[in-house]
Amino acid sequence: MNTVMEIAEKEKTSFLVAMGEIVVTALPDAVLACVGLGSCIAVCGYDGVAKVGGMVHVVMPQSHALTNNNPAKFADTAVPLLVSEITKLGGVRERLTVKMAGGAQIIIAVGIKDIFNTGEKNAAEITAALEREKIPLAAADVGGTHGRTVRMYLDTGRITIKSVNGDIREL
Amino acid sequence: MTLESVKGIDLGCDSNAELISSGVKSAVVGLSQMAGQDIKVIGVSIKKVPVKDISDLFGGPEALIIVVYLEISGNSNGHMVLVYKPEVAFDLVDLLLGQPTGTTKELSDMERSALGEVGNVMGSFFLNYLADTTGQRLLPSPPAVMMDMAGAVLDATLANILAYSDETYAMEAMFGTSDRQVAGTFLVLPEPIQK
Repeated sequence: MNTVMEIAEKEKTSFLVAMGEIVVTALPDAVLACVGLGSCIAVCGYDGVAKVGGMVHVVMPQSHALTNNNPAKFADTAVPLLVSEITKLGGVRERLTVKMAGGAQIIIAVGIKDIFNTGEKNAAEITAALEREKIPLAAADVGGTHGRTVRMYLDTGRITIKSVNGDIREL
Repeated sequence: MTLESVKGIDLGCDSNAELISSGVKSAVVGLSQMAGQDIKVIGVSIKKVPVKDISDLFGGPEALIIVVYLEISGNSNGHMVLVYKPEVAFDLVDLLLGQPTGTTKELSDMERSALGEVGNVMGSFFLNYLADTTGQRLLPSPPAVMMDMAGAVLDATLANILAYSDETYAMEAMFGTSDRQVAGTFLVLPEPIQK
């Protein structure tokens, strides 16, 4: 899969995980980032022993019957994909810490159709997918009405969330 | 123009591109009348862009932008998005409210309402032009005014498009007056026809 990057560079390596993309790496100095998340959700998986981690930028809740599509786009297919890509790089399913952030409802106005509950549906579908995978959700920061930028640092598995007003907190 | 081609607002088709760009000019005429200023279209371009890269048009996904959003419904579905840098949107509010430049510094109810009106006027002029020309029924939703990270405000709209297609046609228009800054981007994103 071309969206999964394995690059053997020594310098600080940051990866931008765009909509519908997945990045899984074992690079100790890698920083994975989903920038400007609205209704989308960043699902982060990390194995602290193998020091392997990944981030997937989930866009929509369900893949339904949509064909010819990238599994990283949809919550129901992105979660199993993340788990399997991490295990391919030496991660162990039982050791995985999975966290998610995003899923805001940015557009609030009368007359706007319910497609804008996308954030909430994404979060629910990711939770359900994790249950199917029998992996507990370690932490979540979802909902609200503002955008977030999520970063994961591969050396420790630390995850930070930057909100639109510039505040940075840890997940 | 056949009904079929209008149905998806296929911007890839030349005659539709012409139609849409005339529609945008009409929208800017509406804005001119509303502002009582001579606002001109500086340029209109239609690009095929990867959906995930659209926020790059506005300085990247983390850039702070002000957006006026309207949904298109009727015979065609799509999204109209007016995008401004915050300081430009504040200038536009000052212009509309007849205040000296620099008066508006934040987005409160009054400013939201003024910008929502801009969306109403431009959206209606644009869709009326399209509707009159093609005989289609096209309706704008009430406007939603937001200030947030570019990626975040566009997420939900783009998600709906990205579910069906990795690429979309984005119609981008720049407009402004000779002396005061009203440069903004008018983005029209047609919704893919669900098969």
